[in-house]
Amino acid sequence: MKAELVQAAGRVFGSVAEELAFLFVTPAASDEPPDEPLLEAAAGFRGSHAGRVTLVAPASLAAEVAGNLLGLDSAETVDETQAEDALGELANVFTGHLATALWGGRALVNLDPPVVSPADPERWRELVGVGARVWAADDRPLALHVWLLQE
Amino acid sequence: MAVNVLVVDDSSTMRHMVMRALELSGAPLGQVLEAANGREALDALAANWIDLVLTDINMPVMDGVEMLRAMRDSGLLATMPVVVISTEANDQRIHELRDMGVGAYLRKPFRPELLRATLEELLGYHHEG
Repeated sequence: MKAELVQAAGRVFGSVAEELAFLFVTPAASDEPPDEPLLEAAAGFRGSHAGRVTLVAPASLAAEVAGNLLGLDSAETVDETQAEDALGELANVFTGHLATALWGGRALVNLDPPVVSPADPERWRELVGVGARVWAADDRPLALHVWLLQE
Repeated sequence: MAVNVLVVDDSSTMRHMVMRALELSGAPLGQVLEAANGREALDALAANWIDLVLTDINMPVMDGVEMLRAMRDSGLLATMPVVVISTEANDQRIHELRDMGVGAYLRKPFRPELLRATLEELLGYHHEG
């Protein structure tokens, strides 16, 4: 990802994660994947601009996002479907806000419904290899990649 | 008068969030129904008395714009308040939605206070506190 895109993505993701899911996001100390099950949320967009946002996070972080969105006291009561749904929603809302930050309200960008699937450490490293930035949300790492179709 | 509300979003998490915000809004709620896409929403509208629709736009099967077109064509949008709650913030899209008869547009994430103010304006009630 280009430097200005990385900066915009980091700023917007921090803002959306805090406002939507009450997560505090900082740069991660390491790019290495965590040793726990991972989920990948992919959100495509088309229109005057096109591309895809990919977010890979520990399943436990997705559960925490769900717990925060649902107003639960503990993420332990969140089931797998809720965790996947919440991670997809985080990716979706981030994508919409990133589009506005990059191109303003006049750009006509249509968001595809997010797709969430299991991921593994190899997928994490693959994304980091093509420029994904690793952030820490409440001290747990997540990899965020934004791909833009060449304009 | 209790208001029957239909919440339309493909994300069950977002539907739950919107329903929580509705409870906090102080609106005089009756039944609160859910639908996961525009098709399910149209079915719910055909089978139930609904006073207010809160809907997302980007959904599989039938998106919110298609659903609103169907509501407009059937005359439903002329009488029913609709609030769109979506991630997109395209000026043209918002303008089109207003032209179709949508009463208000809220961008995700939204604060419950904003939903409360929107509902007070659309439904004409006032919540103290």
